[in-house]
Amino acid sequence: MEEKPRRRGPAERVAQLFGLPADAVAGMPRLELVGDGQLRVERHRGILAYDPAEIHIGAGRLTIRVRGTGLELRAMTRQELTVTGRIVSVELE
Amino acid sequence: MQRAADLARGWVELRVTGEGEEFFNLCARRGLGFWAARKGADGSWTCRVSFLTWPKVRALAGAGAWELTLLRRGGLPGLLWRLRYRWALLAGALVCLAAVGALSRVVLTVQVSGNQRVSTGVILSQLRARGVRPGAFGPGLDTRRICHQVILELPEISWMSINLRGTVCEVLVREGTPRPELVEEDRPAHIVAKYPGIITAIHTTRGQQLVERGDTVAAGDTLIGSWVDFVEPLYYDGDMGGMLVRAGGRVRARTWHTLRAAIPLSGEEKVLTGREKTRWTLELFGREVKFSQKGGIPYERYDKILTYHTAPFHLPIALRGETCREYETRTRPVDPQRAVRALKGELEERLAALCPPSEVRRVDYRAEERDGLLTVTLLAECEQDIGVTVEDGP
Repeated sequence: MEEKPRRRGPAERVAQLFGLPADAVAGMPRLELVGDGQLRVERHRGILAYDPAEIHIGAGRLTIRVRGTGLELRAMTRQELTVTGRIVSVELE
Repeated sequence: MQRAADLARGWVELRVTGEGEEFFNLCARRGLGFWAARKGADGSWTCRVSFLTWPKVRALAGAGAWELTLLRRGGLPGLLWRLRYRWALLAGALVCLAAVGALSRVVLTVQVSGNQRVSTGVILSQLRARGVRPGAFGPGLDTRRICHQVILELPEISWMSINLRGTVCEVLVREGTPRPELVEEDRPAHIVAKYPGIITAIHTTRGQQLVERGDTVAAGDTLIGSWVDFVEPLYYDGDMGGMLVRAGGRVRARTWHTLRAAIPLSGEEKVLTGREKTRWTLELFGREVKFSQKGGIPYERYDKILTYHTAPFHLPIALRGETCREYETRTRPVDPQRAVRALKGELEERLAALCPPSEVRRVDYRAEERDGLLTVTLLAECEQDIGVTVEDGP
């Protein structure tokens, strides 16, 4: 069965229409991957699942799925969190 | 860096039993920061929170369904918390820290660099008079004012900087370039003879030549005058006068120099008696602590020998020993040959100051003993420049 494409919100569409940064206008999450050892996520909505091999992070309409080995929630605040370890993949769904 | 921050703010490592994700999300929403969160094999979680956050996290867990277990504490606040009832220990540590902080600012060594003409001793003496010495408290020194005062006191120094690096006081010095002697070319002057002699050559570039080759002159005679007469034209009976100039030229002459030096044929020499006395003094931060008892030196004639035993690492601590060795004097005849050689060397040095060695044509020595004195006479014939410029008037 083919997966249904994600529907974009109005703010996200406006940001895309006017070429504005979606993270600032539409509150979309911002991901910063440093090599394969550190992932920084801004504007997250909390952790959904946590395991040394896989971490699921809520980000509004998106769910960020981080896979790897020895994953560790290095730091976490209301706005951002940092995951360290050996990151193999980052998936969005 | 992370470790230093952890050490400074203090941390508490705890185990969370229950739904860890919810607990961490709640902590984040409440602004309670945590770090180093891991999930263990048994399903429990470990994380670290700061020392100040820990009571709030504990209250948060108490309100929910999580169970927190304190595993260990670390960092400075945790250490202070454990020592809260041990006032003496805490006070002692604080006193030690304060003492180390204060003593590390005390000057232990003063290093001078960059000086060539002005000796280090002279600079250190000036600095010591203004308080820069081993034992001085560094922050109490007004280095800028001291630099200005020393520069004013020692005109050879053009720039000085005092840098306090812990217990080392580094003094950087730059010496100025000596000002050249200014010659006033417009001021009238004539050239006179420095020594008596017979003129062998004279070359006048400016002024009135007053002597000719072959003339005999005495010391102080004018050789080239500063007054120049104007030549009157033909059929003119008046006096055209003249003008004052700064005489210039070179005058060479044969000169003769007679120098004498004498030495007694017998002299006194020291003979050690073998008796000696040593007094010890401890020098600590420039102050002296004498170990020996009061009392003078019991010898009439003695040599004083100072020995220093300094501490390592340039610490301003030294043990000084003053050894006084008694001696007696006795008369001893002087070896005439050695005395003549010594006197000849002395006379040659004096002759070199009067005439360059390359211009000395002939040298004769004559030695004679009379009235217990050995006298050596040097007779030198030279050909040298004898003209020196002497300015007119005051």
